[in-house]
Amino acid sequence: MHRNRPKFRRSLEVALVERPGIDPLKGATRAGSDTGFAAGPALLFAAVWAGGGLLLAGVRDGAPSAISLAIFHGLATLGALLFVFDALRNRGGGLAARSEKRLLEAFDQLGDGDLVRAGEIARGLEPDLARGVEGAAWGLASRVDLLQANSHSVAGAAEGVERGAASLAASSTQQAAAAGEVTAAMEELSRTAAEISDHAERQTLLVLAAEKDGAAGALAVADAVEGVDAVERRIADVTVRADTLGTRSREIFQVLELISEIAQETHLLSLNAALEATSAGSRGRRFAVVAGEVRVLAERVRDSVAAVRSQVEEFASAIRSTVLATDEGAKEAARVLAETKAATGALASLRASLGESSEAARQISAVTRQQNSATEEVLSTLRELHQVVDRMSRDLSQLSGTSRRLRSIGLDLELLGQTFRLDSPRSLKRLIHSWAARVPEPPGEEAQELIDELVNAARYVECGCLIDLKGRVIATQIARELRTTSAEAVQELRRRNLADRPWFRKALESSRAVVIPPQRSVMSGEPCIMVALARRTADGRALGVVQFDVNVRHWTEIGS
Amino acid sequence: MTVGAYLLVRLGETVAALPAAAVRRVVRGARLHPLPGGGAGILGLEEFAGEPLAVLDLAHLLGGEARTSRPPVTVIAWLGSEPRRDLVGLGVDDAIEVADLETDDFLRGQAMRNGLPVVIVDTGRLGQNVGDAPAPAAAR
Repeated sequence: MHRNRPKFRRSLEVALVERPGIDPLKGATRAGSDTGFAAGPALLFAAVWAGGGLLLAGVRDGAPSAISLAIFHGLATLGALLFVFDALRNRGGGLAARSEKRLLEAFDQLGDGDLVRAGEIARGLEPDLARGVEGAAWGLASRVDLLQANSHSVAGAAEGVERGAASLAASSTQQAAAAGEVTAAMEELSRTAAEISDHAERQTLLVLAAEKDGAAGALAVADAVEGVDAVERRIADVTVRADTLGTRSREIFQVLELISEIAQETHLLSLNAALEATSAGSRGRRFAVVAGEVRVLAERVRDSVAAVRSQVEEFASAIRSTVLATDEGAKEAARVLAETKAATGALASLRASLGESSEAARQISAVTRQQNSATEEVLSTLRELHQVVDRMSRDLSQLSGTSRRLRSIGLDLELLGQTFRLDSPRSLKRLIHSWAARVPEPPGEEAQELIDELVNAARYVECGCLIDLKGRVIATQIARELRTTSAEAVQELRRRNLADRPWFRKALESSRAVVIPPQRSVMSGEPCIMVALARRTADGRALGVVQFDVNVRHWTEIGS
Repeated sequence: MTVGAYLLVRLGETVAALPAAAVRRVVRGARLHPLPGGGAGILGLEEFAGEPLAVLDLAHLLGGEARTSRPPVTVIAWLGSEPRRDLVGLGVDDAIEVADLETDDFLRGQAMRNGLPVVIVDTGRLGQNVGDAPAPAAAR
């Protein structure tokens, strides 16, 4: 289809401008008719080619096939009419001479696309012929009108699709960027999760080693507790034995006291015996000796008791010290036992904590591995999403291009429709005929007011001019939105002479409107369709040329 | 130089000698019953052979300080001379032995025993001062 576009464009331009030999004011000449017939097959060929291409494009790009079929139907009808026209020309000798001339003139107008003029001419024919030609003109006009309406719809839909595609493309680009960022973040998360899993596994191993050490420590502490318990029992035994020794010591003291008392009594008894012996004089001397011996024995007993008492006291003191030391030892053993038991409890708590920590580390490791697996899946999905978004972005770009092409095709169809002069508000030729009819004869100062009114009334008109026969701009006006930026261009336009412009000469040579395919405007710099028509008097004398530009951006508003 | 038998008693750090003829018995210190108005040298009454017996503080009688506790040993002896003599108890710290002492020492009221001085107590004169103020002269 792209390869065919230049050929189609050239055929269209031929149909729009290059129509030598056809002058409705003078009637169709034979030679001119020959030349005109040569254009008929070319137009048919171009129309069928373009229609086939559109049909194929509609099927391939997913455009509404009904529109494409309608366009193709219109083009086929046009081709059929041209064939009928050619056949009638060939057998013109069978019709009456007057009717033949008018009929040929009507078909000339049909062939040139002026369906309004063709209908006007046909009204002077025989009623049957008039109905036939008018019916053909009406049928062709209705199809061209439908073609234009459909081209508007196609262009509007294409514009909407293009906007949507552009918006989606922008969104998909942002989405792709966001997906890329999320992918990077997820990759970082995956790496972090892997590190966490490694750390958790190392922690698990460390905790297992600590658990083993803790178990050994618990056994050692249990042994220590048992040992301290045994020491405490021994100390209790020692305490009991020391208490027993203390009791025995007190009993020994009591015995020593008794011995001491007996010794004292013995001593006193020996003294009394000695006193009695003394009172007995010489006879008691022996008895005094015995009493002295008894007294000495009593003294020795007393001394021995004192020595024993001293030793027993030392022994008792040692026992008391032992008891005190044992008590201290028992207290210390109890304290050590309590601390050891507390250490046992702490160790048990520590082991429990280690167990919990180990379990937590194992869970962390397992969960992190699961998370890593899930992250990998998410990453895979994100990468696929990224690819899908990329593909979608490319597809949207293609869709945007297709939409632009579709809009361009719509414009081509519109231009094709604009080759006809229809009794329709969408027909530019009809519009410029109505404009030209309002130009005063001769054109005066009120022409500027007319141009102002016309340009202001039609939003799609960028610039309107009235040009005299010498090519000078008599009156001109531009669209409101350009008046502040293009004032200088307007002045330049007023100074220019347009007499050498092809469209100007063509408009003066022909009584028909001239439609020029889009060219860049000097006002807005945007493509514009130019329409020109010579203002003529009733006898066909040209007074000037009316011309206006339609900005392609607003072409869908024609007739609105 | 005449040798006589004496009962040696201990009064704190001092050793005193009582004539054996004046000593009737040596007994352990028994429970004393206080004697109101008895004077500083009288420790109280105790029972001896079924009779009340006044117990005197020999150390106080010999001019020493009055004892504050019950004496562990009581020497029952005759104080004074015939026809007036009284059987009393003398509180001492301990009765040591019955020993013979030389009279020279006796005359001076002091004798030596084992290199240590011994106070000779004159029980005849000591009986006269019972209930009076301490009289060092009781020691001959």
